[in-house]
Amino acid sequence: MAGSSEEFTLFFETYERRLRAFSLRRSRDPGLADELVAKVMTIAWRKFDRIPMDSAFGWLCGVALRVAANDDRGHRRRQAIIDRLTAEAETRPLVAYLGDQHLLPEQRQAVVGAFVRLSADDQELLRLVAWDGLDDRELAAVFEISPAAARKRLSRARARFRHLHAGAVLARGAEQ
Amino acid sequence: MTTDHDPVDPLGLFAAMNQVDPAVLTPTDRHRPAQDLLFRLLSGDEPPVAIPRPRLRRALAITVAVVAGAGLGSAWIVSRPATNPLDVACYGQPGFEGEVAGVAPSGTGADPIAVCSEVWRTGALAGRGPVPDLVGCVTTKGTAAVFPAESPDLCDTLGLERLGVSPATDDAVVTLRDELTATFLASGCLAPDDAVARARAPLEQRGLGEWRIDNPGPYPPERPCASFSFDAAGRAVALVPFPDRSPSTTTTGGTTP
Repeated sequence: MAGSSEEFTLFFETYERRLRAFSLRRSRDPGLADELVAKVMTIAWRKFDRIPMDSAFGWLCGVALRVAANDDRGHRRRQAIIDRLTAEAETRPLVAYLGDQHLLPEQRQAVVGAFVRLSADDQELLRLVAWDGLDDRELAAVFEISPAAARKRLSRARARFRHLHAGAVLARGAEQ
Repeated sequence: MTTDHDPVDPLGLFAAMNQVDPAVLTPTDRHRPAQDLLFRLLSGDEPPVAIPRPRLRRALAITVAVVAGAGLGSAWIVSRPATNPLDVACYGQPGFEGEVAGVAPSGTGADPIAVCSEVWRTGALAGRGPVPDLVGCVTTKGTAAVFPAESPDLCDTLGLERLGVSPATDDAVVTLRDELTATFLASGCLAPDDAVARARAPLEQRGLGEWRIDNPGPYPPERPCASFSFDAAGRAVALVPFPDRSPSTTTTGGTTP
């Protein structure tokens, strides 16, 4: 028990901050992010001996996405509150955003315009890669598929994103 | 982390948007919610969480419920042995499919049937309505599990044992957990020898003199304190190395703007 507790402590200290960042990117609220981290790490504690350590962060992200999805379904009465908090967060940045200032408004508009036209699955896949820095093995752990299948899904999602982005850029050029 | 994307690739541009770099966040060892969480996990005082179904099974299963523990303490999914009297699992259907809520009764000596009746009354398992007949079983892992059914034959059908009378030590174990958890939280940092002494006295007082206190160590500089972990099935309190959380060495958590 003590041995596994020590191993879990090391695991916790290795991934907690990265998982908190993952949660913050999606909730934009530190309290909600801490709440999600607590849920995911509690599950990790209970299932510690079954976590694939070579893709542990992907496993954590997969759990986090499922917990968040369950919360959406199981806590509908809280949804209005969460929506309000999210809306507040949208207009009141609570965390540091990097790099955005390097984008021109039209660049941002084209990227967002293409991104929102992707399927929800493609969007999540690209968020995990672009924002959370997951590699193929970790992506595979999130979606419970093989790394090869993860690579293929990512490749297709990127191709769709590029296609939509090119269309958005062309459309904007035609307007000007 | 994600800055190696091709800048002309929309994914590279997307990576530059709305990115939260973990490096700008408060480190784990100084983020109070994280430290509190870690302590609670190691001490067995877990926060309320429902375990989501695996993706492939979700289509067949109803959403797992989390129970607001008003009047009951916290809600949990139980995975510990039933010989551990700290948890009760309440199922929403006469079987393992469907909703399940784990509850850690805040009181002592709680009857699992009574605990789950209260969960049903909250409407957490199947909406508000009359509490059905409930049957108590013990899972193969030793977890107390309560199902809506009229006959304890259900336990046999599910391959479980019928729930017997809780051991007389249940109250004492719950009290011990609460007492030692409070002791640690109040201290911030217990030296290992002090922790052994602090655990010994309540064990004797609660009639748990046969319990062991395991203190395997070691205690590295970054985790010089001893926290408590409880193994009711094994009748042991294990001391676990833990970071120093005393006020002089910790800072308030939060994100760095």
